[in-house]
Amino acid sequence: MMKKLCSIILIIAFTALLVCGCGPVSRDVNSGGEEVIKLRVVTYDNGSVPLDAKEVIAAANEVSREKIGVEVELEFQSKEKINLMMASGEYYDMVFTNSWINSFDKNASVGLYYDITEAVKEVTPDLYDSIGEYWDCAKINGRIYGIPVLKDMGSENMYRLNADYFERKKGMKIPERMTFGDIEPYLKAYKEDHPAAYPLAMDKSGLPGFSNFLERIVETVVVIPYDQEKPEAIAFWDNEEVMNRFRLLHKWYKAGYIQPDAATIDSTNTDRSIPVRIGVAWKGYQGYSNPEDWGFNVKTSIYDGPYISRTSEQGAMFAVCEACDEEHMKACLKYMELLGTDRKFRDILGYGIEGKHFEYLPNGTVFRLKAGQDRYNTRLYQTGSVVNASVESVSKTFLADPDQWEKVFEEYKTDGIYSRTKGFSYDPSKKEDIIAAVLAIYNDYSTELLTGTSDPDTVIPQMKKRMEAAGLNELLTDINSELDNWLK
Amino acid sequence: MTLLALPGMLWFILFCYIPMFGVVFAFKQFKARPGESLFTNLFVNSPWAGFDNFSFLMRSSEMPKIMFNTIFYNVIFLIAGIAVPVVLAVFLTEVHGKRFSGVVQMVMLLPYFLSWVIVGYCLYGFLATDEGQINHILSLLGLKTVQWYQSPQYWRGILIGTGLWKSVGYSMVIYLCSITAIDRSLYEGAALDGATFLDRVRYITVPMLRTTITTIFILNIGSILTSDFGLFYQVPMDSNSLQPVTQTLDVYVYKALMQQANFNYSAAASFLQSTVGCMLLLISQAVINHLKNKEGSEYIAGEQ
Amino acid sequence: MGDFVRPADSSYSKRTNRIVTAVFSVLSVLFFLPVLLVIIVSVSSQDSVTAVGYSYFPREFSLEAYRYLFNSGMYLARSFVNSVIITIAGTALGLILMYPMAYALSRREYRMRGFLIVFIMIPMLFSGGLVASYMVNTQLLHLKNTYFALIFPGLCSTWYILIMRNYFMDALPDSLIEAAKLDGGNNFQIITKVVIPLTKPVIMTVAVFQMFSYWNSWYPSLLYIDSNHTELYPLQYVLVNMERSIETVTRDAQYLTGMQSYTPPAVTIRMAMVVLVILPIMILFPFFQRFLKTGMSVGAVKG
Repeated sequence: MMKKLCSIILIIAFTALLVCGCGPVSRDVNSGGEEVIKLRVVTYDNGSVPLDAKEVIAAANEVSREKIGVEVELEFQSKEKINLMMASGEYYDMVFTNSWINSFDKNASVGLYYDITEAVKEVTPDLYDSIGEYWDCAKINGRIYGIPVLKDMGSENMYRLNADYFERKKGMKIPERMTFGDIEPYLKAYKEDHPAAYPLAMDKSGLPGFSNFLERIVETVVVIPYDQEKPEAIAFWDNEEVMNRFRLLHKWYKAGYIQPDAATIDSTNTDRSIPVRIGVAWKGYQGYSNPEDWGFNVKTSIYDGPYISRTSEQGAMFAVCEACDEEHMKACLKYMELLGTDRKFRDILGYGIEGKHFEYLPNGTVFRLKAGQDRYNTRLYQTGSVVNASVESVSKTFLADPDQWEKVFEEYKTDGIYSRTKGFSYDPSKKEDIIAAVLAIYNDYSTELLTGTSDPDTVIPQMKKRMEAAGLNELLTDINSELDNWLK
Repeated sequence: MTLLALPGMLWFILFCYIPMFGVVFAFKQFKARPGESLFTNLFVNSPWAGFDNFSFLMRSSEMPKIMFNTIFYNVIFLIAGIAVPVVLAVFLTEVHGKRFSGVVQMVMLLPYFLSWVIVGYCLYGFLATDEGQINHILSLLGLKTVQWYQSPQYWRGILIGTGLWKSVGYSMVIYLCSITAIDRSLYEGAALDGATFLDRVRYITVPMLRTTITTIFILNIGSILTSDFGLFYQVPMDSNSLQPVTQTLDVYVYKALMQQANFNYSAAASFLQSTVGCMLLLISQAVINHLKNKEGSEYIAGEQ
Repeated sequence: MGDFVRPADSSYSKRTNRIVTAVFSVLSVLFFLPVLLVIIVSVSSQDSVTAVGYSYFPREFSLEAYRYLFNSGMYLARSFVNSVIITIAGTALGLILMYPMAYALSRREYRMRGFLIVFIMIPMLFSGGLVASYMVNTQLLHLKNTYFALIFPGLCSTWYILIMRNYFMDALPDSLIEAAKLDGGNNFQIITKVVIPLTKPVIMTVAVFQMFSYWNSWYPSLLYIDSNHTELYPLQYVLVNMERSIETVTRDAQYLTGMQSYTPPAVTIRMAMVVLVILPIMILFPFFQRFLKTGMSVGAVKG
């Protein structure tokens, strides 16, 4: 009896499972007689799944079905899940890829992405024109494997200061630009007034964008400085500027400008009294500066950039799966074109449903409503072109400049500092074991180095010794020989 | 009998044995082409890599230290993780107040349900430099405060303590449960014979717990190279200064692959852990069987 | 309450009992202090945490964290139902699979025993790893975006099977089973009439651990439920998701990339989530302890 009962239950359960699984597998199902192509698009969830995604995607699909006959099943997935999906050979049509998760260079060189060099010019000339010179970052050996998302393509590092305190109370002028070390008198002044406080915000993620003025080849460990006579890949500690900044940080740490547990805390975000924060953004950026929220007026002062490198340009991209048929590949391109050229459509995926998740302000910028903040709070780069979306204002009174992107891109043209080796990419597959070992060593020291907790002059020699034992020089030689070939 | 075990076996086949082809990843340069069958991807698209996937483990000059840490903590937990809960269970059994005993069990079990991340935060509440409870107490006593997250000398103790704190309640409940299997008339008889508490522990309770203890011991020996990642990474908040005492094999693998995922490498690492564990398990099994033959009682696996 | 040894049978003298009780009281307090800290921080205000850190004596109490968690209303209710379904199904199915197997393994006369033990031990040592099981579950078994994906992969555990088997070997004397067989019972009758009543403590122990591991699990949802099937999310995953979104806001602030200025009280929310996890345990545990009693009829049969 018992045996029979058990086996029956089990058999039922497993059959149910198999039937369920085999039933509605949704890919490649064209609905009815209409010629609608369904795409499975996988993007990064930036940490969490937006609750209203389904509804928003349905609204977007209505528009895209009418305009180009394409519907998407857009999935927001975590970093580990995207890695898993790529590794296990799961089918998708288009995936989010870049320099920091789901590595574009690595996947494209292995041949996981569709070569769209010709197709993008023929099928979607408008898309091709709109991206222009930035196609370079999506090329491997001269062939295009991805569609770059137009966003802040360079990186500008800035200080964000409490203007009320420094300018009005202390009479210190906050210039529009300064150098990294110029902040010291400000920190000192604040510390003298508030001995128990730590004026420079710092948490375990460390100094943001510390290597932005270097072209990163292997994470932040192997880099190519912009200003070399003859480009050569070096370990980051061989760059004097990097070392000087680490020394400064450590000096500030010892002086009590940085909180003693900085290397272990997650965030200083809730402490609104901190007068100096460091960030990576773009000129005219207005987030985190609404005086109504912070209780004081905020001024930013840029100390670095804009630096434009292959890594910074690769900040967000989409790539078509190599196993796609031509029809699906073309549909992907058309969809990206629509996102890159149709602003109203772009705003749906970017901000949600008008009236529910966001509304347009009179100056043409977008304001997120409560539902939008809680239930569809995505970053623009997750869903496509940032530049083609409307600009967001943080409040109805503190308005953003609707034309900020034209100005930012203009600045890249006039003031941009370009890496000389932009376009060079290193194929890491031969030396992956060295890279893994080197990164493990780097991670043993990085947090304390980047928060100023440890003294670079004692820690770096240790790190160097261990990395050299792990084969760093072999790696550098290999990179440099590839670089020399590329330079020829 | 076989029919009784059949459904369970089916489950093991589906969810453990079929996926076991993943062990092969350790020796492959796995490349999956979307839309092709699993078999093609594994055997046609992916070239063999020999032992290449293991080389990232050998690249680190710290490997001896990492291995030492891994084995050191595991041996401590192997011994203390059995001894402490057994002692607690044995003593708790005979406490008069039954309601009290229940409360104790529940309270000691609670930490088991906290995630390591949370345990890390709790510990930070005690050890933070400025606002930590311990530094508060130290400064109240007029002692010098300590920057705990930069002082590796304390952390072997802290980690062992935290590990036990989290797991002791769970194991204790398992042993208490085993004690319920003891025939109560044995105790009653012993009481009539005037046996003291220690006599009862020695001649009744511990012999009865021996099967469970041996099982747990053997199972834990099988994971001698596997460490609880959360305890060694999240609890010390990944503090760099503590790395000499917190770095275990799992932490190393995580740190090596956190920026660039490589599933072949992680398969290689876990293959190494499994193989070493398996060998140790077989050895300890043999030793125990040898002892068993002397005593005539029976333990975990193997035919008579 | 756990009734292992009746006070009358206890070998403790009054004095020993007092000492042992005192020691356990101190231990319990030590064990409980960190948990208490979690509870207190969960009802502290964010400002207080910023000012005085994680403290037993916050400057100000606030329920903001709980308000934030319960804000999602219906969505949370739906996920609660999912969690209940998954937990009940997982516990029941798991026991149905493991219990008979453990019983078979405990019978000395069963010839396949040695093989079976090795059979269940191997998966404990070797596993195919994440990628392989993901491939099997999605491409072979097609579990993606179904409840099954959240239930099936965690059903059995070698560990619990062995614990049950050991218990059976201690609590069920061969004479008892043989007597039952002589009375003409088949395996099924023996299990339901004789074995189950005698082994309630171990059933309950395993059931409770199995229950809470299903109640707390969220990783399978991350792997197998896509973002457009949010209706299948269990409670824990919703909470984890919320926590991650707070982390995102935090990280954006660090890099000044986001736009929002409202910062949810991250620390207190995290602690409030823990309270939501341990609360059901504190409520249910006393019920489960009722079953932790010594098997009663064993002695009778043996004698």
